[in-house]
Amino acid sequence: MKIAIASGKGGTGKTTFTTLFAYANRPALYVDTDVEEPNGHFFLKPEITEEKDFSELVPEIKDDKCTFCGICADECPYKALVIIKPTKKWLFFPELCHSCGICSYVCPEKGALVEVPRKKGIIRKGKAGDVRFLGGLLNLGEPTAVPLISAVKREIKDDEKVIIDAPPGTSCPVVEVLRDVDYVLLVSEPTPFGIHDLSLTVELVRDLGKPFSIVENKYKEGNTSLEEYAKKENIEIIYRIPFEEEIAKGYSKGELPFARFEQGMKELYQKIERRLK
Amino acid sequence: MRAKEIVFISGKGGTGKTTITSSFVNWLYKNGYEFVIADADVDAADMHILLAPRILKKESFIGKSIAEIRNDACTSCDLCRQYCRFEAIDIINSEYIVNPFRCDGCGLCQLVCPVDAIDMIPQTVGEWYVSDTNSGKMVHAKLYPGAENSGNLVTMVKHQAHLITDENDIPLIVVDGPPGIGCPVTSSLSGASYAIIAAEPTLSAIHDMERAIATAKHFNVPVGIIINKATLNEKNTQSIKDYANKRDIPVIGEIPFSRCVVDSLVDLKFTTDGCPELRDIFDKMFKKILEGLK
Amino acid sequence: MKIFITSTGNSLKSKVDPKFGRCDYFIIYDTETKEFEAKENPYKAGQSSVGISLAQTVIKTGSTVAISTNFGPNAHRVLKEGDIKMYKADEDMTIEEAIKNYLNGKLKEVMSATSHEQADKIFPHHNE
Repeated sequence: MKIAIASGKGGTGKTTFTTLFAYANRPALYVDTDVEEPNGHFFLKPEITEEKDFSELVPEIKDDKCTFCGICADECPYKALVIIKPTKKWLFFPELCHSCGICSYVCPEKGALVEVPRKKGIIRKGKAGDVRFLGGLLNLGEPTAVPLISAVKREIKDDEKVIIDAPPGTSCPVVEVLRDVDYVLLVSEPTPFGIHDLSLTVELVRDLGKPFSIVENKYKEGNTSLEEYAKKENIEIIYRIPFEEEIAKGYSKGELPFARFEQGMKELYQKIERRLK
Repeated sequence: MRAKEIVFISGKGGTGKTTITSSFVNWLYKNGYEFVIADADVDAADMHILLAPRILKKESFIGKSIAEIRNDACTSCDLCRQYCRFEAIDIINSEYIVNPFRCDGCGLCQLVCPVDAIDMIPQTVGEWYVSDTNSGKMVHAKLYPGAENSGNLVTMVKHQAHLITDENDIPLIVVDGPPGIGCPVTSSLSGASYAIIAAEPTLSAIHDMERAIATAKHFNVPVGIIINKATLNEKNTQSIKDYANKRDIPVIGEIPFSRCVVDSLVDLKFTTDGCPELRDIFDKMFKKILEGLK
Repeated sequence: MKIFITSTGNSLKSKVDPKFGRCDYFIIYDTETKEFEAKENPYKAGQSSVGISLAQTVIKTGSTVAISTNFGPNAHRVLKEGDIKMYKADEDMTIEEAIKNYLNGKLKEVMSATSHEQADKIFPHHNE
């Protein structure tokens, strides 16, 4: 079973919850797909056993074969290539390139434009006790996280308990993560910003047709704002983590109260499992 | 003169970026400054919740085009699927279908299709607004869930903000930036005068802050740091300061961990109004930001 | 020789547009015939890479000199590789003045990319 943990807004406790949840349900695979800003390893502290480069193909032009006709640059949808005919120069802007391959397809001179791999990030694997760790880290300045997320996901074996930490927001990277999971947990907090961003994510998860529930973090008795939203939208709040300065302090040091939430999160997993049968 | 842009970013979400930005906006207004607000966190825009904008103008935002296969013309030759680098073409019930979430809009499939069965259809992926708020004009946007090209929407929001400042001779744009370090962040940093990093003394936020600072430096944008929730972990707060010192990055101020910040948010109040005990801290901090601009 | 100048309008009396990639118009002035041509910048409201696109336009028009106030890093790189010399005109100059100043050697050559010229002082306008 694959469960993804998402949240529209950052900083609502998504990674806190995900790592606690993976630990409580070990043996499990924890997957960090927040490749722009991965944080799960701070809490799980995995021993990294494998690290490999993630590369994509980008163009390289051979000066001796290129006629500087400029077709590649004209056809590049991202304006990542510039050909300057008068001075016979070519320029490549790697931060604009999406590795689509059009330039090499349209080049009329054989061997004038070749595609070479360019490192765009890394994929890491490791283990923290019975929790196996898998994650990606995107290089700074890269235009899109989706290809690296796909590459990370290809490393997942299907027969495992898979707990996926999704990126924040509601755009393409989140969709890439959620599109083939079995269940989605949305971590939110009872603040106006938190509820607003949650509502955007709810819209997305509904579009994708995934079953989902809410995890309320920083829960404080007396503040019923998130509960009211959930009731209105007919969504279940399936789990709560209280607002406590102690938890925040521990978090700041990379320490989480794993034992305290173990039993509750085990039951949560079983509940979802029963629901999907 | 082109208006200066102060951009608030954080790397990690939830460090108080929008809270600080809205407090800054409120403070600027109360101290008589003229400025335009740009909410560049188009994925999850939140500024409007506190600023209660009255929308004056609303426009659709056309993002990238997405491939569409006309099945009556398609001969199932499979070339498009083989060439697509984004694995965006699926065969469903022996029909070729483009997955709009994966399609990058490059158009290679259209080029390779031998029977001209593929169209590139421009997508409306969001909308942007020019609004009035009690503190000044604001440009904001909403990206539809699951859409991409948020970097280009950020560029549009900033462009519209500059049109307003140009026309009215307003010297400043305050930008609430997006989280992360990806395309929308680089768009919000491009052409900015000053990037303020909202940091917090947690290991993950420090890690993300370092990546955000590196991104700003890459674009030659000077940076300053505000440490939010500074009393949460004194040791980490110190290491942020050491990090900043070593790199000649000013620490503009420290906001203590305080329940009233969340409480004022819950009551839909600016922190500058809801937390009188923090007033002096904000005052000093925001003055320092403006000094850093000169 | 042709000179390419970013402009806020379509005449020689217009002011220089300080934004290179997002200028409103550009003017191509021929120093031999003393004639000029004004065109609207098609990339003005473009979503991305406007600097790169307009820099390529400069090269395609056969200009050898580009005058603006600020050249961003991407545009600067393209123009430099295209052997286009870049000169800085202050933004309150008219196109006419910019051309005259260039021909008299009074404009400064731009050797590296610049960011936008920005308002240097931010004053409170009103007090409550």
